[in-house]
Amino acid sequence: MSDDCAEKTVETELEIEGRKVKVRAQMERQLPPWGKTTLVGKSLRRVDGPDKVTGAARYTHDVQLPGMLYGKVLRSPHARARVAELGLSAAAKLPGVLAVLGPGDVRGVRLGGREVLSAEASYAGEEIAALAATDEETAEEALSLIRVRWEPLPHVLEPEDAMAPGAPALQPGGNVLGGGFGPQTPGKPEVYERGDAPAALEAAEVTLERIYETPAAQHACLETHGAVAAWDGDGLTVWESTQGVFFVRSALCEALGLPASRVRVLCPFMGGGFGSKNSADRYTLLAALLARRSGRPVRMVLSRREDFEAGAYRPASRQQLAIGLTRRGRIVALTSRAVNPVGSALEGHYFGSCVGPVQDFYSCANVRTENYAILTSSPPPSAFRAPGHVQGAFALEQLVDEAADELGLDPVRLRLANLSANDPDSGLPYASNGLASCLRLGAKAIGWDSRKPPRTKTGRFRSGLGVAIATWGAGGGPPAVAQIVLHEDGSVVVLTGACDLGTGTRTVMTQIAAEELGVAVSAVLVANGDTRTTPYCLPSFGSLTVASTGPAVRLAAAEVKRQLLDAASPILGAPASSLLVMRGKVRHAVTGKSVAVASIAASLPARMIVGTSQRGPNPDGVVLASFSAQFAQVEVDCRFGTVRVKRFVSAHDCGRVLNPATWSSQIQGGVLQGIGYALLEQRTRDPGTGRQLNAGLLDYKIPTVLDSPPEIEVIDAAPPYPANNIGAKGSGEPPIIPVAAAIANAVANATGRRLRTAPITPARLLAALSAEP
Amino acid sequence: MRARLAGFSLERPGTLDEALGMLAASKERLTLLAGGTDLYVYLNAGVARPGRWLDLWGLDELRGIHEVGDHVVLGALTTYTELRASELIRGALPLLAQAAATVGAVAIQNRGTLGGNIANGSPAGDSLPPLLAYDAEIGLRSARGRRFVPFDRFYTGYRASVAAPDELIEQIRIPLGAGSSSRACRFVKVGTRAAQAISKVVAAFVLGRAGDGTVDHCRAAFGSVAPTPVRLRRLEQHVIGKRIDPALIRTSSDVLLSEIAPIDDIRSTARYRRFVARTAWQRFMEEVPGL
Ligand SMILES: Cc1cc2nc3c(=O)[nH]c(=O)nc-3n(C[C@H](O)[C@H](O)[C@H](O)COP(=O)(O)OP(=O)(O)OC[C@H]3O[C@@H](n4cnc5c(N)ncnc54)[C@H](O)[C@@H]3O)c2cc1C
Repeated sequence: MSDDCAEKTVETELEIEGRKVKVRAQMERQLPPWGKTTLVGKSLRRVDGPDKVTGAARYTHDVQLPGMLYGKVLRSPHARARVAELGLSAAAKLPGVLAVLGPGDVRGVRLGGREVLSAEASYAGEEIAALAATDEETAEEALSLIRVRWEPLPHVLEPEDAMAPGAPALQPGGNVLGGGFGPQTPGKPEVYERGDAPAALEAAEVTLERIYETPAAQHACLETHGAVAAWDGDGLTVWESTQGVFFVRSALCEALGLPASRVRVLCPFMGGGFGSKNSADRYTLLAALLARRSGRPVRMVLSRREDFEAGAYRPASRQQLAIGLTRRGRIVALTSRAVNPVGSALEGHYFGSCVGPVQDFYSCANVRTENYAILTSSPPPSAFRAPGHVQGAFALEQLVDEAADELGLDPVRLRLANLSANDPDSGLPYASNGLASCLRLGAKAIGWDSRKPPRTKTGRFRSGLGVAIATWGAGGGPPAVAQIVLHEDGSVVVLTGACDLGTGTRTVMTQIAAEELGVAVSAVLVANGDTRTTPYCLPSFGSLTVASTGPAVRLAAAEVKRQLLDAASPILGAPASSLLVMRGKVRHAVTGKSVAVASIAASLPARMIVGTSQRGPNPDGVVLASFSAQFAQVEVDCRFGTVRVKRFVSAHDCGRVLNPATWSSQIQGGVLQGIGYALLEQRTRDPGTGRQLNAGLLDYKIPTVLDSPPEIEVIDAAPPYPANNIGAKGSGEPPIIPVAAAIANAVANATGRRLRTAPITPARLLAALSAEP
Repeated sequence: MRARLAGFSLERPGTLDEALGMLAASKERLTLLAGGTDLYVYLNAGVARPGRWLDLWGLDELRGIHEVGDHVVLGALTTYTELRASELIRGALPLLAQAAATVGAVAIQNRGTLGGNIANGSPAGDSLPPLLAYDAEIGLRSARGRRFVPFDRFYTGYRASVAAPDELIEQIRIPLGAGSSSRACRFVKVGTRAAQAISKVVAAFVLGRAGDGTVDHCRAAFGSVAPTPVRLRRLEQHVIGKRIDPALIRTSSDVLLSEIAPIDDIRSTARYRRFVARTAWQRFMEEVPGL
């Protein structure tokens, strides 16, 4: 590294998906904040937009290699069963089938502690055997020729049944585990405590206790999970629809015993992950193993049904919350007892803990959370956009509204009065905190002052307003390395390992590099998501891509600029410090004498300038979080029990907005996904077999554009954020966190009825409306 | 699992007569392909019937919307987009245009046909209640000739109809006055979300009144509440000759509930469907203009 502070490394902390982790980081060169910018902060069109709309962009699904085979997986039709006998020979003999694998063929190849093919299925949809054939139809026919003698075992799908006495033990330690960032400590909950919540509840002037339930929700990425694997000698190349090429690589290296240098993982374009594509999956390894066995490239792309059945999901939750307040509305105690059914997740398997909001949304001295993970005969869940917080906010943010009703206080004022200046958990100050302005600006935009109590509403259509907030650790951090190459003709390549999930990463990195370097956007190309050619970074998860890779790109650009000015100095006969780069030219600040960037680069012995930099540590002693406040206006049709979201205002503090257009799409997408979670989406299963009944987009309904309010108004309420050199925090996850609670609160304001179970379906709403208030 | 295409063949007759000849000559049952918006879903799910498929899409004889005498005649290949765009339909048979606008999304509406919706016979088909409410007749055609079947006698059970293996749907015929603007009418579709949703309940109502305010014409047709789309004849009879008042709305709702038999499935529950069917009817009755 050419940084002057190269040797110094320090320990620093970053928060990923609600979990704080410590890493080592190299000190970075301090860059002053940008003054007036010409590109950053502008709604630059997506640099890859034309490639996407013309079909030139190559996604994993599009990869076609000479001789490529199609891989398919045989999955368990039972929720829990042992394979007593597996007959693969008929399938293997079918012309066109070139490789068949059963559990016995891949013994020892493990992923996340599990064999990649299982002789004992712990959920319907679990992988039992795999094969590859010259075309998809032959592969599917071959699957139908596999003979399995199943020995069904007793299964449990619902957490209540798994916890009941006499339930079959799904793992030796029993079905009840501690929750947290993964199941742990058999038999005991994960407990978090500050102050003395039980005593404070006891002593509180007002207490409320309520139970909230949320469904298992699925990611429904437009691009289903998939990989294409090809061997070249003992080297492996894998195209994977993933959020993080380096995590996929390490999983492959570990499972197959290969050095990182021999495994190349690529993901230039991908069609959505939302937390479900953070690393390699079984299909990735199966593609690699089938490719090795057949000597041909293998494409293993899940069908939509498989994507639902074997894929990932946000776990359901049942949360029992209690709140204690003073009569004047000061929150003095909060408790949560949460049950998370986590399917067949193994210890340490990340699923997202729903107790976070209770711990960190409000200033409250006495907090206790008790968190259980319950094993069931279901697939393991995974991270899903703000894992845990979405479930937790649905509960807490309704409870706070219920408390406001009880006390006769305005929900916005009650929230404002209980916001915390410092991070409630650590007591440390936030690096910046715009939550109060989010609430104020959002309230103004939605017309909160016109909100009326439910009793004033009559008739078939009733309108209501609701609010909810979110806090989410989104400061990003190291490791993230960027490399910038200035070529002899003045064109620039930015190399970053970061995958662009469709959020606009490539566009925003172009803006940062072009801004810092002083060159035109058209001169910059971002090449990303390739473990062989692009430098290391974490997956695009935890709302961290911009705040992690962005500062590294700016540093690398500054480093290239430094070398460029040094080279220009003798040409222009002026010290580098008096030069600046503007519109592709290096010019003297006073005399205006200039020379084109291209001619400087061409005159260099190396014919190129290379700058490599890495993201430095986060500042000590402060907490990095993004904030949002959301407001929903709904119209409830009391005769059909339907809810229309008429208006939605989403106010955010994510630091500096680098590109208002891509930022707004990110927020609107999050809101729409939240509307699906609030009103439409839930997994339904056959209790007898555990098979999902709505495994597909026909019956698993995600919202369409017609389900969206005509306008999702996005407000930037960010104060300056000093904790990294681009001034930006993450905004990927915050927009989905409060949505469902804001909608439920608006429904309560419209009807006077509390819907404590999501999704708020017409059947549930009608039942609530016909019940006694 | 998808269907193996090797088991399928596709033939493209150039004229209607050629198609009818192929139907008459074939010993195996041919599959007729119109817009393919149902059949391709079946192919993808591996439940399509293999064998010979006959592509009707090129047969102009099966297209067009015309006024013939005192009928509106619609070719079986009429698409939803054509229904939505037709002045004749929008003016004379508005429920059909409204139903067409709720089918799938634009791409499906460009390709999906009325004949396909009828022949597919899903109890949730959105064009079917309007056709029942408008007293449509289905024109079946074979090499043996043409016959008309009143639509409310077309289905014989779940996805089963009176059409013979050598017959195709040629046209749909609707009396011009069926949708007279002097009659109140309404189309109701309740799905899981605002678009691209299979109906949990779909309904079409037409109601006319005599000079003295009593009901002299009533059609109430529902989808997704029974194995086939249904006309609720007892309900219709119940309101004929009466004046619309709260008592009639109440008593007719009871008749309605006794006449439908919805089921629980993954899209909805029987209970919710009964509730919504009744509510849709009550709302219509309450809001009949001039009450
Ligand atoms: C994404 C999507 C959304 C949809 N949404 C809706 C919706 O909202 N509401 C709704 O009602 N439907 C919906 N459908 C179903 C479908 O679009 C309709 O049923 C459509 O009318 C079928 O017409 P088609 O011409 O495409 O039929 P095809 O698929 O070509 O044929 C359907 C059936 O009819 C038979 N057939 C076709 N034409 C004739 C004929 N002339 N004579 C005899 N038999 C014939 C075929 O043999 C086949 O059995 C949807 C489908 C999709 C894929």
